[in-house]
Amino acid sequence: MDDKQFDRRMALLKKSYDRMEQQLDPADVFKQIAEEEETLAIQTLDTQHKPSVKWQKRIVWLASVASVLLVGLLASLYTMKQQTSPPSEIMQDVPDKKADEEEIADYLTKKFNSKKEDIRKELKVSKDELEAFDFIKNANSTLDFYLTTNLQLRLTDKNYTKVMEKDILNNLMTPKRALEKIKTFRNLTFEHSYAVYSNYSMSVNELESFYSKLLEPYEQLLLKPGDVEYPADLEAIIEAANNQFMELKKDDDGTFYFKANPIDGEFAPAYMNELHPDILGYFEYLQTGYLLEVDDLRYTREETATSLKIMERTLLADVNANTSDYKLLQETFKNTWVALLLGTKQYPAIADDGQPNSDYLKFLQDIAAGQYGEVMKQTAATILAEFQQSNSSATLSQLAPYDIWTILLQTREETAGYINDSDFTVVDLDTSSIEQIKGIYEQYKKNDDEAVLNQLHPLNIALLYLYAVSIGDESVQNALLAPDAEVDESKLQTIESLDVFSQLGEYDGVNRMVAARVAASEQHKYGRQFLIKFSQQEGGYYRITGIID
Amino acid sequence: MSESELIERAQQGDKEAYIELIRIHQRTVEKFAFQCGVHSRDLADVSQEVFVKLYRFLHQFKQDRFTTWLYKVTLNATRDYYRKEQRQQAKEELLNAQRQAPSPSAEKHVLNFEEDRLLHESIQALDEKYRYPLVLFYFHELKYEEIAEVLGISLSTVKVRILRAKEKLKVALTQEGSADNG
Repeated sequence: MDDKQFDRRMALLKKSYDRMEQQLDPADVFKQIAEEEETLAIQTLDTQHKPSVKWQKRIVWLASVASVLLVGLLASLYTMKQQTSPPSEIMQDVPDKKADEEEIADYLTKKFNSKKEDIRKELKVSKDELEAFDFIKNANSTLDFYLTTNLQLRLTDKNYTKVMEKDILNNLMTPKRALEKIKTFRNLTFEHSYAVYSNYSMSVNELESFYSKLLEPYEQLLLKPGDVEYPADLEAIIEAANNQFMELKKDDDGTFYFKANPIDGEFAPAYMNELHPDILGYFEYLQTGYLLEVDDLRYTREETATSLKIMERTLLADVNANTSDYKLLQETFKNTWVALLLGTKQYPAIADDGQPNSDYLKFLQDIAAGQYGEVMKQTAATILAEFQQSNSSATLSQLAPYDIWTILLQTREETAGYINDSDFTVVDLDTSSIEQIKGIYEQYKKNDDEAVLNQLHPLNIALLYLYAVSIGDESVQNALLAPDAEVDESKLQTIESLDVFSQLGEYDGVNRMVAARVAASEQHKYGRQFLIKFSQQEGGYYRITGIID
Repeated sequence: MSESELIERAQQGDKEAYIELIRIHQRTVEKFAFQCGVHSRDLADVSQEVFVKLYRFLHQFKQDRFTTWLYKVTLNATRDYYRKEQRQQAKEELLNAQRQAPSPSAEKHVLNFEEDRLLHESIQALDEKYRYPLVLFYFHELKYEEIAEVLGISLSTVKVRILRAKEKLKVALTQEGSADNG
């Protein structure tokens, strides 16, 4: 296909697009704006001016009067409409619709009740116990919603019954049923894994509490050492909880409880490996809960930091940062890191003599070495260096949750660039591009004219820098660095030829970055790539601010 | 009344002026959203989101480049839609425990000719970094500089991406042609 043919097809498609019917009714825009403003006003009222009980009574009274008036108005409108509609239409339409609706309502209710009964047996609970669960109440309301409000829509959309049925039945979920869906898939994407997680999280915590409470009468029996034969009732409780991946545990106060651990617990199914690893932070939070107590950590410092490392991976990977799950994880992450670094009652940062505790310094070293993830590495290293210099740390004294969030955001962008190849515009490093860069080098060296460097694109600056490294020209290297640049030169300085590199990839997000990809044959020596970070200087040109290997 | 007068009036709270602005631009918004991958049944919802957002930020708008701004907001709304759609789709696939056959081509209602539909689908199959500049260049006749501003990328990146998009699309169309013939 030549350019002319291509352009002609595109022009024809453009004409078809131009013939598209408009779909939006501009009035709907203002309807939404009014609705949002109303909600906002109610929220503002709720949060800022909570009315006194006396006022609440008045509001309830006013609302009742208003609703009576509204019902009256609707009733009169309805009567008016009936009077104006042709009578034959009503006669023909209503009975058919009604019969259809009843039939479908009956079908859905039967299916719903049958699944609910299966779940009751699976959980080994009575009917009353089942109906008391919030997740079952939610499922019941979904059924009610469709049966009372939306059933009539079925007549306008053939697929609607199917969608409705799916939605109603999918709300009836147990942890076991949610995870068993994985069985039919291999190597789930992050989005699929998130769907599994959200179904699993519907009921798991509530069931943990339920089964844990059932253990109370058996506390003494459970405390007995050795092989004790449990009564059938207790055996049934344990079996039902185990069936939902829950393990029987004992806390520091000697209280027994159940905790689900489907990832690496005693009852973890093998198919959990099919989940995307980036999702595990959400499961970790479900398992650990909030990591802080009123004035201390809920787990040991090392356990806490390890949990945060798992959560970090999810926080960096999930592109959908506006879900409540994400926000909860983010809150936990930033608040817990601040507590860990500032020190807690049990793990104080500073000893009574005003010096940093030695175990705290060791903890900082471990963080700086990357033992607990990437995000806090640099901050820990800075605090450590400040302590070594002056026994105090300005970074630490000013540290707030917001700072941690900022670092996380920055790493999110960098990591996205690092791990997602499609974000990079990649060029092969061939002879012609190397020759071109040598030409630029010669041109600059003639009279060290900075203007030559200032007009270069980040990709060429990166290549010129690497070339200068390979021939050992430090003055050119320095000319390309920003004044506050941080370069980890250990591995980079041993490079003697540009043949080490196979490709350059440019990432044009908020922070400009070039990835210098190492040729496969050299990766054992230099790793996969060097990341070269840029910033735009006042004159609008680029300089290198950091190189990470 | 000129567009800048309408904007000025809308900024002062004149609803009629804003409705007029919507009428002028809604076709562009709906077309762009559709070309970016929004399902035809969701076009009204997405464009409604766009105009609600625009209204909220209207006071911040300075007179120049209303269209550029409009494209940016539409692009963001489209991306939000995408995420929601993908998450929903993932959930449905899982809950059904089997992958569903793709729904019958909704584009049929919008694009009448088979040839157009095939080209539209090939454009949808392009990575978004190629799709967006291509769409803005060919179907909205934006200049390279304007595309760079809408997408927040450099001028040279725009050029390279349009070129590559074109190459990829040509390959796809040629393969399709040979598949149809063979």
